[in-house]
Amino acid sequence: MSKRVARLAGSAASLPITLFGLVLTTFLIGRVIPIDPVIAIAGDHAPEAVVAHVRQELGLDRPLLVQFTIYCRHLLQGDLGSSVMTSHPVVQDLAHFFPATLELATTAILVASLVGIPVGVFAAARQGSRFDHAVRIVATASQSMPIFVLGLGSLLIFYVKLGVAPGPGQVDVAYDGLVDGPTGMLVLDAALQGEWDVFRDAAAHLAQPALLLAAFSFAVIARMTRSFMLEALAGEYITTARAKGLSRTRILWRHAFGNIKVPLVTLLALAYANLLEGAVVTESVFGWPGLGRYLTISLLNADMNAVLGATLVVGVIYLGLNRFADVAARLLDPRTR
Amino acid sequence: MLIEVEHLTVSFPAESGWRDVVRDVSFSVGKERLGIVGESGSGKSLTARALLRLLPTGHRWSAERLRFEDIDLLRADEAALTRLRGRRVGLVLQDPRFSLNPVMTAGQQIAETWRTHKGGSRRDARSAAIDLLRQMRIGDPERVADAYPHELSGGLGQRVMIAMMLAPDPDLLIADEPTSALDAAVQVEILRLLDDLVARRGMGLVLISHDLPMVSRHCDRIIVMRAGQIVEEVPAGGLAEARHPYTRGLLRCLPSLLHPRARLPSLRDTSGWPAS
Amino acid sequence: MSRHYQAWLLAAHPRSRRQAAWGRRYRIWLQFQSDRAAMVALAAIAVLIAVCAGAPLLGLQDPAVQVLTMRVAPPSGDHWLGTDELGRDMLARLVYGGRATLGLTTTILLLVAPTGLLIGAFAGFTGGVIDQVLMRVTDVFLAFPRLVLALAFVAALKPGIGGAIGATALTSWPLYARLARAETLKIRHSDFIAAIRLTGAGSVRIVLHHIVPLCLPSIIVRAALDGGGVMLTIATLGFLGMGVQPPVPEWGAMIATSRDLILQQWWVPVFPGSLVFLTVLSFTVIGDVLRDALDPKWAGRC
Repeated sequence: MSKRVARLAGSAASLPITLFGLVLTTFLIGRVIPIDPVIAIAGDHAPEAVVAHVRQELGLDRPLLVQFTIYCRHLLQGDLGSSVMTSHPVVQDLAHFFPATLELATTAILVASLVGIPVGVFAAARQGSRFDHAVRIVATASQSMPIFVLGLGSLLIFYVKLGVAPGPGQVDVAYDGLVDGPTGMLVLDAALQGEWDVFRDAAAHLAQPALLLAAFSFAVIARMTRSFMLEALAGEYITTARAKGLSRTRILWRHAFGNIKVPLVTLLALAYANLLEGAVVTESVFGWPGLGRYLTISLLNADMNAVLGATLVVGVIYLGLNRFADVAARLLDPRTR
Repeated sequence: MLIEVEHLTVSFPAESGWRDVVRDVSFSVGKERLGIVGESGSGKSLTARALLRLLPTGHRWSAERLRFEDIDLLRADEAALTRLRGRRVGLVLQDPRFSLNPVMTAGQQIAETWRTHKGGSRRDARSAAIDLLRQMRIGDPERVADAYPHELSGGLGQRVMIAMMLAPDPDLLIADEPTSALDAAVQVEILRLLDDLVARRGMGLVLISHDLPMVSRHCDRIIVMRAGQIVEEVPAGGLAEARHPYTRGLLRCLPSLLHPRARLPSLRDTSGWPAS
Repeated sequence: MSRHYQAWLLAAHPRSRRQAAWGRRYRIWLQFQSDRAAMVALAAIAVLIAVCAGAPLLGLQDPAVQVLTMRVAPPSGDHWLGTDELGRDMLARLVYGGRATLGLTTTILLLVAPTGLLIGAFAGFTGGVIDQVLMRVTDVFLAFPRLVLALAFVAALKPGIGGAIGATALTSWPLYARLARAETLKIRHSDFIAAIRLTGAGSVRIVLHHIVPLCLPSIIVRAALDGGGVMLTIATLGFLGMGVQPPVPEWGAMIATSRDLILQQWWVPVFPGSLVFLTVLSFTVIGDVLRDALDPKWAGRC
């Protein structure tokens, strides 16, 4: 009895503990590892007065534990410090740039699932066929290609050479600022406001980076769906279904696919989380104004507050998605309800 | 004749080439209860699957004759086989924990079979499913119908399996070790249920098991298999007159309350038996 | 291989533990050999490692020498693969770049996999507080996407080889520790471990001699599969300017500095890009085939 309680308590407590660990890690990265954290935060060229002010504010002359308490206190107040680069509070910057990444990642995962899941199912149904081999090869290859190479290639073929796709950025300069919608996701906002010119332009800009990201998720989704399906198709209940005289389509979708919905949801949540990683590079290549680009530019400017703030937010989202995957899996499986 | 099979051979790829696991098996089944007995690895399950052409991928098979009534199964295409399976021949497997779909309720699985072969609305299918469960001597069929396979005991699961396979009113039921995963008491109940249903519906039954006494009690005719071949075919009452050394060996090994012995004999491989 | 040795290795009834162990390894090798793609991949990586490791012995041109009058020259007799945007010999840059990218990748793998394995096995075996602490620590590391955490570390450590190694290593080891722990938990309570304990073996001996060898197959498979990921992280860090700093060549950085050239002098970014792709692909293929060979359940499934 006590063992079970201990296990349950362990898993319930793990989330806050991990969150605490995230905060601690960013603190360590920001304050402990750099040689002079002040320079890291205030920047190389900060005047003496600013440096002194920052030093006092961070309490860098105080013991580490006190510093950490100050850091946590600021965090709980929603204060992640100020960005040297933009001179806005980091929290404000993050809120500004986050929707663009959300737009990119969500579009990518939708495309990747709508294509990847059926492809995986059909590859499993025709195991060993030419289609199956082709799917495996394409999936392995697209997972092995560095995103930035593919991104650069795509930009320069479709944008520069062929001229069919728009260039970097979220929207053309001409349309910049015309739509300042509720969600911050340009395509959605433009549609909601009926600004169809802006909509078309924004969608065209969204297409390339989203498809690129989708290509990577597609590889993982298709391969894993195929793998899950093969395992499901090996089950005894499939023999029963065949013995019942059901059609192949029904067996494939109602029986086999019906059994992989749970691992599939987990997979999609994790794939979505991994898109955050891919977004960093994609946004850099395509000049997409999202969290990833904010992170890389802050890095290049050695803007420590911004880097840590962005890292912390990404970590929290990633963690949240992983947890969501666990919970969803448990809820959907009739065996664990 | 419900089923006629002649010279059936099934092989699967092993490290040293193709291995025959069913060799040159011929028999026929009418509206009777046929038992197929053998140790594990004797090829009895694969024979049953071969009858429905449900062998696992990678297996190779051949036969001179394979008919179900007037349908030539050797030349039948996938569509014809799909029409045959379920509608005219049912298959009950060993362990309902694995042979039932874990994410569909019992009722849904029975209703699915019913609707596939008889058509009708979902409501008709559900009431038919509940009725079938009642025929399986289940006291609260509604509760069982809404349960998932992992929530059912072994005995209940097998009743669901049987109900599911009998839903389209087939002419023949093949039961592959239907009671091997169940407790002794439940075994008896399930077998009596099968006897009753088969008699009432005028069906044929092929009962596959390693349990010789059980088969002799619930079948009219017995086929003994060893190492992929049929070694003997006797009527159930005529077991005592069995002539093949293997069958006699099996009979000698059965413990008996009437003639208790200090030490049970064991089968030893002697020449005259087919090489494995 | 002589008939005698082959017969000994493939004997159906091995007569000693050594014979059984070597027989098993030989069988895995045979299965690996039967997959053509895997052999090609293995050869490719072997060749790459050999060439990059032996770079100073190959008589290549100096990759740092700039000949500004010969910028982005196409392949020629003097420069077999042409020159880059500062007139440096591409072939030399690629080989020395490989020393950085491939070298860093293999170094990190060789560092991280054994360390993670030992930590995970000990923690899993000992259980209790140590195990819980390990779980929480790896939870935290695994809570970040690998690239993002690596970037944060690099920001703190300042860009450079040290930063790149540290960051990538720190974000890679938790995977192996968790894997080793999971494997250890499976066998911790088995009878043979109990039997060994009865013979008086201490925890350290049990873990090192008995548990670690059983964890090795999955660790090796995971390392091969992860090799591609590590290399992509290194190359991405290089691309973003966070890894190896100029003028030291590195494949990712080479692509970044030549991105504008892709239309006309396409070979400058495409060569390093293709090398990254081929190496990552080789790692993935090897990992797939090894996984099939070491765990039959997965054969043909992925």
